[in-house]
Amino acid sequence: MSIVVARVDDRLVHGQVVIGWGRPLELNRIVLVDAEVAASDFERDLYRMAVPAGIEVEFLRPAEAPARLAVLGGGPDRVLVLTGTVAGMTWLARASDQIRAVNLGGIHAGPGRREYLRYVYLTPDELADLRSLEAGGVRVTAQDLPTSAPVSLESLAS
Amino acid sequence: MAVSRVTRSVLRLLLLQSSWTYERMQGVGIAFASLPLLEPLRGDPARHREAVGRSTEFFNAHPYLAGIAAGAAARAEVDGVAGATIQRLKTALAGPLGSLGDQLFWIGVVPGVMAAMLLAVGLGAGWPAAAVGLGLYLAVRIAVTAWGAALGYRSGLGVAAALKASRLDDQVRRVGLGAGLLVGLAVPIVGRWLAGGHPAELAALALGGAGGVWAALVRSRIPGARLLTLVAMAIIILWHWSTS
Repeated sequence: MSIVVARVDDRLVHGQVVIGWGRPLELNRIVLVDAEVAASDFERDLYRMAVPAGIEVEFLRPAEAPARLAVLGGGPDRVLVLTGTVAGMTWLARASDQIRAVNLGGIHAGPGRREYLRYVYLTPDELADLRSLEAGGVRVTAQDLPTSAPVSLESLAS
Repeated sequence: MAVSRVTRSVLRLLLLQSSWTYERMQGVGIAFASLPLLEPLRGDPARHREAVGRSTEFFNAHPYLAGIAAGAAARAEVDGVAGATIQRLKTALAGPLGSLGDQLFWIGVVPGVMAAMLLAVGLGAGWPAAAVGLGLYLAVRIAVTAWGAALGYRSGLGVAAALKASRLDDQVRRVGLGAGLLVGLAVPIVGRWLAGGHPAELAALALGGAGGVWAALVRSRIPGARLLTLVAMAIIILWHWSTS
C-alpha cells in the first residue's frame, strides 16, 4: 500500500508535514484534498513554495480524489494524503478504500472546540465523525511528529 | 503615512513571540504588530474590530519572516478582502515562511556570522570581532523583518507572486552556500589559532572540527552547503600543510 499516511492538519502543507514526516517515511508525493486550495492560484503557489525538491505536491478537489487515490494506491510513490478538516477526511475515508488509518496531526482551537491534546481541539460533531470512522474499521490516532507517541482515539476522548 | 505605519509595525514585530501560547502560537503577537497597519480601518469601528479579532487567530511561522504575513493580511483587510480568504492566506503563508526562515537563519545567517566571527578572531582581529558579528546579525535580522513587513503590506493577496518575484528562495540558497564556505574556512584557521602552532594538536583539532561540522551539517537543507564546507576546509588544511 503506497498511501503511507492520511493526515488531518489545519496548517495543511508545513514543516512538520514536509520535514517531520517526509524524511523518516521517505515520502515523495503529497496529495492535498481541499476544494478551496484546488481553486486558488495564490494558495497553490504558496504551498508549492513550502515543499522541497524531491517531493511532488498535487492539489485535488474532493470529487476527483477517490479515483486518483485508487491509482496512487497501486503506484510506486510513497504518498501522504492531507486534508485540513476532520469533515474532509471523514468524507474521503468513506469514499475511498485506500484510507485505512487516519492521523490527527494538528487541529487547533476554534469556536465550539474542546482541547483534547495540545495540538488536537475538536467539536462534538468532529469527535462523533472520528468515532464512526473507527467503528467502520479505520484506525484513528493522534500524533504530531513521528518521534512522539501515538495516542489512540479511545484514550484521547476518554 | 504608510511608511511610518510599517515602521511602527516592524518595531512591534521585534516582540512577536512575547505572548506565545500553544493555543494561538504567534497569533496575539501578530495582532499587536498589525494594529498600526489596520489604522486606516478605524473610521469604521465594526470592520476594524473584526479585522483586529481575525489578526489574533492561530499563526506560526519563522518569527523573522512572520511580518510578511502580518503585512499581507493587514493589506487584504484594508482592501476589503473577505475574512475567510484572509484566514486562508495566513494559513498558506505559515508553511513557506516557516521553512524559508529556518533555512535562511538557522542554517544560513547564524552559522555564517558565527564562522565569520571565528575566522576574524583566528586571524588576529581579537574579541571586538565578536561585538561586530553580533551587531551584524542584529542588523540582518531587523532588515529582513522590515523588508518582509513592507513587502507584505505592499502586496496583500498578491504576496505569493511578490515572494516569487523577490527570488527569496534563491537568496536563501546563496546565503546557505556562503555560510558553508565560511564555516569551512573558519574551522582549520580556528584550529591553528587554538593549537598555537603545534602540528600534532593542529591535526587533532582539524579532525575533531571536521567531524563536529559534519555532524552539524548532516541536517542541512541547503543542497551543496555540506560539500562546499568540506572543500573549503580541505583547501585551507592542505595549503597550511604545504607552507609549514
